[in-house]
Amino acid sequence: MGKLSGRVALVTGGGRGIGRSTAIALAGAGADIAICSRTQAELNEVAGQVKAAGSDCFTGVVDVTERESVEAFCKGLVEHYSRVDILVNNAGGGLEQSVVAEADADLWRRTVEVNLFGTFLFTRTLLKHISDGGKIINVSSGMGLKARMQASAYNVAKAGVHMFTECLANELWPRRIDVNNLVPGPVATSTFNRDDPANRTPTEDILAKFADAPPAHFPEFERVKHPDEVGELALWIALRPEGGPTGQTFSLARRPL
Amino acid sequence: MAEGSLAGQVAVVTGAGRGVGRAMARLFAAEGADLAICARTATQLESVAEELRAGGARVVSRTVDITEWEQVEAFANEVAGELGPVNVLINNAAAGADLDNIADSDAPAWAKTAITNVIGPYFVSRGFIPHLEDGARIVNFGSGNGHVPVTGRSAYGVGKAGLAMLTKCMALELWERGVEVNEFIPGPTATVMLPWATHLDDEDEIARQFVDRPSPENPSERAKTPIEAAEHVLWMVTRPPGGPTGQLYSLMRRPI
Repeated sequence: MGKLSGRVALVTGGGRGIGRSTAIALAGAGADIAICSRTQAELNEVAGQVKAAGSDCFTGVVDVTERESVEAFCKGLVEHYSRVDILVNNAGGGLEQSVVAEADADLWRRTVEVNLFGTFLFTRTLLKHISDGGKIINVSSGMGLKARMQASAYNVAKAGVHMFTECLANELWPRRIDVNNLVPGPVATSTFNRDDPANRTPTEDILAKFADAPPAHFPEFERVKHPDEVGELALWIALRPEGGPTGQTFSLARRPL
Repeated sequence: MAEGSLAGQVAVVTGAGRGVGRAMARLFAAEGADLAICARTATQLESVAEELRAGGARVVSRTVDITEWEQVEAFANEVAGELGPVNVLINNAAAGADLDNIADSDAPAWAKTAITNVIGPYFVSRGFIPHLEDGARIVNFGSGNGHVPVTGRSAYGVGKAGLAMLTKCMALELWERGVEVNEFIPGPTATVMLPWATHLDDEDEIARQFVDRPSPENPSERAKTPIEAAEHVLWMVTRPPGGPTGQLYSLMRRPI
């Protein structure tokens, strides 16, 4: 019996990277899992790992910015499990990577929608099904606290996630639902590596690429982490007893933010 | 030697005579660490030291005013001489929240409170940095008051705000030695520092009356036990190398 046996956890963007590691870590503690992403093949791979750990896995292809898509997935999820104990709003990404003067307006809006509106949408849709005493973990970014060049949409969206976490914490403590941000710091993911979706780089190759030093826009004392390290922190947050921290930020960064 | 997550390590805890400091000293010793502890009040400190020694830990225990550099430096040198290089340094000692507005404040008392909360941890860190083992962990005890202004708590808030900046500066300067430095905010805890129990000085009584009860000002907050805070700090100082540094970990139950 794991510490999360009998609990149900949803990890959005659970097909690869941090979401994948988080889903597998939560399953390792006994939780039954739901994951969604845009790519069924990736979901199938993670579901195989989750089931190998002895947990159930509910999957669905979802565009987190489409209300109908999110609502249909959540309806199926609630029919399958009847409730959610842990919601990890992980789906995200930086689609618009130009300076503001050259930004594509549609990509800018979509970046905010994926990172911020998606987080709102899953939370709003599932809130009445989240158990009292449950946990919401919003995967944010150091970029939600400090601006970088050529990432204004992502910076703004993640800053919004931080504020949304605080708003939720204020609203949900009477139900003993604790809501916290997780800041992973740089992690060897396909998103971090800005991969072409048709040609994703394996985690180990990204780690090897940055083994000696992080990318130039990070200080030399920052470290590119394995996604499993973030999954472990997400599990730790999920395991806090009731009455633990809420409205706080838990960060693996190695630079002051 | 005891088996535990801190077996063979040397831990320094300031303000270890009572409250969260004492809870950390006990927990670290139970995890196998040798302890260097200091406080201003000799009787409380000696009682903790005897308890730790009875449990099998090597202990250096000294009455130290952390705002006096010579005392701090002598303590640090003595600890290194007797226990060896330091693996864990906890800047826990603090001066309680002032309750006067700036206009009404007693100037020397205001300065003493601010100094104790920021210059004290600086002195302790300055004294121990030469004696830190590579890869050591430092945890500085912050406060929500160091991040958000509270009427009547300016000296405490200014001191804790300074300590938050000191934490980040230390993280920047010590990473090459693998030393990781983070701030910890326990939130309301059933000690003599609990803002709504300042009329009491007996910690058992404070615990009896207030543990798990909501804060009168912020109903989402509850008073934690010192051991809850201590367990969180133990988790922080036992993270694998390459973990967070220059970050803030908080057990508060409202946005800072």
